[in-house]
Amino acid sequence: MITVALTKGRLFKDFIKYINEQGLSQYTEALEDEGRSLYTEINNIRFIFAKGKDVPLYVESGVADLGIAGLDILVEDPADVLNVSALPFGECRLAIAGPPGIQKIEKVATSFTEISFRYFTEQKQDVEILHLHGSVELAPILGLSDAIVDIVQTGTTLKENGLIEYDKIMDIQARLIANKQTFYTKEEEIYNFIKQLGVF
Amino acid sequence: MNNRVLRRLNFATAYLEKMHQNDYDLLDLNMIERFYVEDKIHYPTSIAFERNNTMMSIRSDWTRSILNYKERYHIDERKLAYFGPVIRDNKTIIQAGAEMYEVESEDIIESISLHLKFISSQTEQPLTTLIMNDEALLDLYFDKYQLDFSIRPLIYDKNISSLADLLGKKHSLYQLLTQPVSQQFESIQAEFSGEGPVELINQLIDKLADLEMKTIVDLSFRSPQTYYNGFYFQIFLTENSPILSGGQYDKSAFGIGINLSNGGIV
Repeated sequence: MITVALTKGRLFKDFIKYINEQGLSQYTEALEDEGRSLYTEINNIRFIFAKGKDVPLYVESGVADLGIAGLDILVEDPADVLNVSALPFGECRLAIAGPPGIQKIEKVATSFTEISFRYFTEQKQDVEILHLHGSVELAPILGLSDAIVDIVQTGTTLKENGLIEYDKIMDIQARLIANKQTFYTKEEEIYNFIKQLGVF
Repeated sequence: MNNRVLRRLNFATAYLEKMHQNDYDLLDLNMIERFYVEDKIHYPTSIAFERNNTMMSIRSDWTRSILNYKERYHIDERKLAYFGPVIRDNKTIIQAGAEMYEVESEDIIESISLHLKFISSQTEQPLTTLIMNDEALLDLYFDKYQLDFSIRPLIYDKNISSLADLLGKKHSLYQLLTQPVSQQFESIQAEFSGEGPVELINQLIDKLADLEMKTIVDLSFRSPQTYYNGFYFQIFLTENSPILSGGQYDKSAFGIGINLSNGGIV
């Protein structure tokens, strides 16, 4: 039995679509039926559903053997895991956005404080970074910040809130990560699943 | 709880007696030691504090502490064994292990074999998996294929997709790293037969064959302790935590430690 940590957030639909394209309908049918369950077992694989930011911790601790997480999460809070492969879904970008006509950014609201700090330091810009847990688009609208750093997929949310994209900080996609011990001790099961996913 | 304390002490006594019988000198050190900022990279979670204008720290790693002691004071002994606590991430962890200096391959193999026989005598659980790597194996690939230094972190990360982009899927190193890890050594042998690091691993596999462990060599496999810079290994009783680990450091030294904490032998 191996355990795979997934998130029911942004990446879940993309993951289901991807494994469907790989012909793995035995997983998609069961995963789509799970509703609010926190885990499900299919063919000796236990899928657990965690918050995206918690997936690396489940894998690092060995509770999960494999995990699928966005590159944004892995860069923001690095975990001691094997960063095995980019996966061909979950493409989006981390970008700076704000109301039209910003002359100078002095305050930025974001959930990605580490990435933002590194980015503005590299740009030699003295920017105050405010940590928000979500709905960051509110911050410039209500005057908490000049701009935001957030994930942009289609740009619709920005547009709906009257914000525009200024600069891209990084491209993001889903990544497969693995525990540093069980990658070896459960080699066969893990390798078989990775092969099924079409990574190797 | 009490049983675990007794088991740990009994284990420690038996271990230190065994090591003493095998010509290891038994060592004890003060848990409070001088803190050298240049060593910070080797033990990032250590607790440091100031006393009388001198930075001090609480021991966080026996190998590192003995190495520091040896660098600053004269020690004649070539083989040392120890038992005692270290503090990591604000937690007390009990370590037991051995350090050897001016070692040859035979000394390393003998020490691992001695430790495994001792552990086998202390538990009914079979040893399941031996995982090994040697930094020198990767050097062989870098020399042969004139690879850029920037590729190393991708190999340590087992970042297969980025290696495919940089090297191409036909490259020998990419092909090696996408094989099941238990098959990697066969390919390494085929390419670098007779080279020193390959022979050390071969000799160890032969020596430990009767334990019937699954044997794995993976170029991505590395120690969390950054001072290990040559051959490195972990041995598992269960799937999640190594029971025994160790490796080469500081050119001709070798350290080996037994996990007495989470998932360990007691």
